[in-house]
Amino acid sequence: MTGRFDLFAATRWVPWLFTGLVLFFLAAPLFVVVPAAFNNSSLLQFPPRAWSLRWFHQYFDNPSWIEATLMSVKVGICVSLLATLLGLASAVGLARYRLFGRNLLRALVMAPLLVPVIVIAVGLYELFLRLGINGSFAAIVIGHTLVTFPYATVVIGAALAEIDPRLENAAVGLGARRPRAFLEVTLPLIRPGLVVAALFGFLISFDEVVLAIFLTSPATMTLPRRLWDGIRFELNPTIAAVSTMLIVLSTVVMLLSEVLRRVLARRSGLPAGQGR
Amino acid sequence: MAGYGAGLLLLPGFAFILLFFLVPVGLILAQSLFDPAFSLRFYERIFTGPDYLTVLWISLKIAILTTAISLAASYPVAYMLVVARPAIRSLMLAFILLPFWTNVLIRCYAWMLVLQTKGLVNTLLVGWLHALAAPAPLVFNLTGVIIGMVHYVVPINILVLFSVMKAVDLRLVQAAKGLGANPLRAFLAVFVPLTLPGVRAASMLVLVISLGFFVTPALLGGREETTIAILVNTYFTEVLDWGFGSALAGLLLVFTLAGLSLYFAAQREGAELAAR
Repeated sequence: MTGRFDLFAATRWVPWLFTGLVLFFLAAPLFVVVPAAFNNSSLLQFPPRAWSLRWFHQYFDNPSWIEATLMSVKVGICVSLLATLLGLASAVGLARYRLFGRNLLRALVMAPLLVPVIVIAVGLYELFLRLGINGSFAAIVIGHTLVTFPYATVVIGAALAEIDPRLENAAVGLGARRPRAFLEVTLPLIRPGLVVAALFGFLISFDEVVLAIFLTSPATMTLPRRLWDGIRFELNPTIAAVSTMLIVLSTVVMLLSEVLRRVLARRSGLPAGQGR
Repeated sequence: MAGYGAGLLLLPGFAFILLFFLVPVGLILAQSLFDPAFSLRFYERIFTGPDYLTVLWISLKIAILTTAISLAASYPVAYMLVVARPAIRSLMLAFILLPFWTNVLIRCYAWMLVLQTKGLVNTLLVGWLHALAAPAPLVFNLTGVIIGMVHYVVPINILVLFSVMKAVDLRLVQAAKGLGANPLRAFLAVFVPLTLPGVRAASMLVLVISLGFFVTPALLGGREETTIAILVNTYFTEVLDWGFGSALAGLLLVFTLAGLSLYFAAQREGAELAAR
């Protein structure tokens, strides 16, 4: 009799059932907003009795939603560029830096991600109020750059670590000046890393709420700030329509970053999913 | 020579961190300690009245409950990710990354639709299954905050634990089975102990994130679920008592730094264990 082993074989589905339940808990609630977005009634009902696109029309016809979306795109592009440039300089600097306090410098780059955002938010809020620039476009771009460029530094640093430094040195040995060798040899090799850093920068900025609550004014209101006000004070299904569109967007970005990750892995000569 | 050029590259990033991170956080700390002469009056106020001690206790309770439930949900899923076939693993990761990439406001809004009085769960339980006579209060209370917080941290927790477990040599578990241990015993006596330092590090990280989180308790909690982060917001934007608000932010910072030093200690211990 191998009853004991049969028992284990018979209970092998238990961990899978548990896993399935956790994954259901994670993903399923997101899709509840989809029927709410197409529901004709302004009251919440399951299942909706009549379908309509009126909440999407509400979004597109309401200047405050559209302006907030455009503002988020504008802020996101500026943050993405700024964070990628700062991240590139810092990553190359950290990779080449050989003097004292290297670990301290690395920790300092990551520090803005480790401190609760609310603490950074009130600190910047106060600094910007004293400087008289709170609520300006620059204020929110600076705030978002602070919490995105550490990611950019890590992502670009990882891309730099994947390539052979002797390639750039070979170019220098063949007579190229260091900046040209960097631009023509190293930079093309880490391009996928730069793209991922820029994409991350945009996405984090496009999603960020807490800094936006403190640092934006009605003139610089971003989409998450508009959503925050909407959820707290209106709670009509327009929010479900906006949410549906953003869930579609995050799905697309997720698939895109997966494709990029595979490209990055292939460039470095490793099969997908086997990067360091 | 190389260090000199690297220093120049590091300059923009660190100037940015100095100006927009160290200065604002320093400003908050200074403001919490000077009134206008050095005084611990603001901190005394937090620890002497019962009101603020209650807030500290609730913040801690939410963070600890979230961390414990999140660990219980994440550990088995991370393990299944390690042992799953690549195709299944990709599918599982999609379920985990989708909420990870979705705006936290949308996730809170989705939970409101699921949990509120006329939400999906109550409609199901009261209207269809007749399991309850009246809708259960599932949101705008502790239950809602914990559900929302767990939903927020589980993807992070799974991904961190997954990276810890990937480093464990599964042949050790096979060896234990070969020596006669049943699968459950091999798992509990060999695999679990090897992951414990990683579990400690991941849980510290989740605890720190939960403690300082603002959005979910603010949206899914009721008046009873006022956390330190919510109070910081209240004192800066409504009460306009920046001194006291700064002391609350300072306290949050101290808790975070204490948690993080435990996190890094656990991580170092884990690295040493893996190196052995």
